[in-house]
Amino acid sequence: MAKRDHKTIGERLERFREVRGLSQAVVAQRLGIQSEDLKEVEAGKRPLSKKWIESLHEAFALDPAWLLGGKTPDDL
Amino acid sequence: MTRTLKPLFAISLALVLTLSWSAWARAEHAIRTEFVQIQTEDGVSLAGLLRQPERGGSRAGVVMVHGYGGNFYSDVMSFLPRALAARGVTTLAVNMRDHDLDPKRNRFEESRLDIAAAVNDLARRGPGPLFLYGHSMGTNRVLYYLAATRDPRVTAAILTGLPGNLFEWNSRMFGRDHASRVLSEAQDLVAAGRGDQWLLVDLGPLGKALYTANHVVSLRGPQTLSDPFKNMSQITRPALIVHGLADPLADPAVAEEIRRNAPQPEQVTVSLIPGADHSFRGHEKALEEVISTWLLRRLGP
Repeated sequence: MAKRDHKTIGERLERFREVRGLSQAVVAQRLGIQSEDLKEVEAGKRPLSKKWIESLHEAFALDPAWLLGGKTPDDL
Repeated sequence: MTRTLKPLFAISLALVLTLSWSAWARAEHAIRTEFVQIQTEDGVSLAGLLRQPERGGSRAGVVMVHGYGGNFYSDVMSFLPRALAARGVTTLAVNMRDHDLDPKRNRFEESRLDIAAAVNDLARRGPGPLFLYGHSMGTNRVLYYLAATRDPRVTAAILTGLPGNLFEWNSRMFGRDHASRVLSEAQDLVAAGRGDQWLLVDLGPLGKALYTANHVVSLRGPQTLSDPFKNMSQITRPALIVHGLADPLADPAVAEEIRRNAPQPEQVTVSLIPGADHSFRGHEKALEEVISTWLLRRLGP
């Protein structure tokens, strides 16, 4: 996956979090990961693993297709 | 490199690294940090982090207020206080009562009590002139506090990443029909005296979320106290507004709109940072520079 994609996915993840009013700490806790890891994903510095995508869907009903698809973070 | 120069180079490199490390360590140690627990007038306990310059005294104090998905230690709330404290400014970054809360059930107007407790705490410590800083929805909280209390202890406001009117923001995200439908459902519950009832809101691909009807109405209802444009129109003290031009969450045009709503727009400075997103990632230094320069200029020589 290209860096640009990581950035867009990271922006979408941040958008989801801000709209829902969830802190990085809360999301990270529900995924069983460190806040720093989530921060890096949001910054587009590291990819979102398949396991985390599944956990996001399970914990928050976040649609994986939206998270991974589309060209901009704006499409809802 | 000759055999005699190699050890010299290695020693010089070690010296440079040691000096750099000790300079960094001195800078870090120049800030004294303290976890604080403050109490609101309605009995809610809030955690926060106080950062004070270790030497040279404090030139000013800033109460730092986070947004909807924030807390006292994340993103802007972490790097900005460190930068300000390094420039002689005491900061108190404090949790609002809705921090890390999922699902949300608080009312927006309770922010006033949380900010009041933080301002009281910082004012008691006497760090110099007081400023109020808000990020994202923290800007709505700060403007509401200033409009509602006209607290004379607060010299000026500093606002970053402003979402503007929260109903309009929600409409932009999910469409006006959806935003109106959710609000209308919440208003009906509040009118029926069932404001504490949970609403399951379908956010499309962002999943489903629970909020109390009171929470939704207090944030986005027609009588909301969160509207930054109305609140700004009652604030006569100076303000600095900083917005990233690549902010995908909050429209940078809001910055100028807020400025125009001030009774004295000439007292409001707007600074736009090209390429910066909502968290000012990769543009932290630019944000630190804009805010500290403006703030220190207000203090005079």
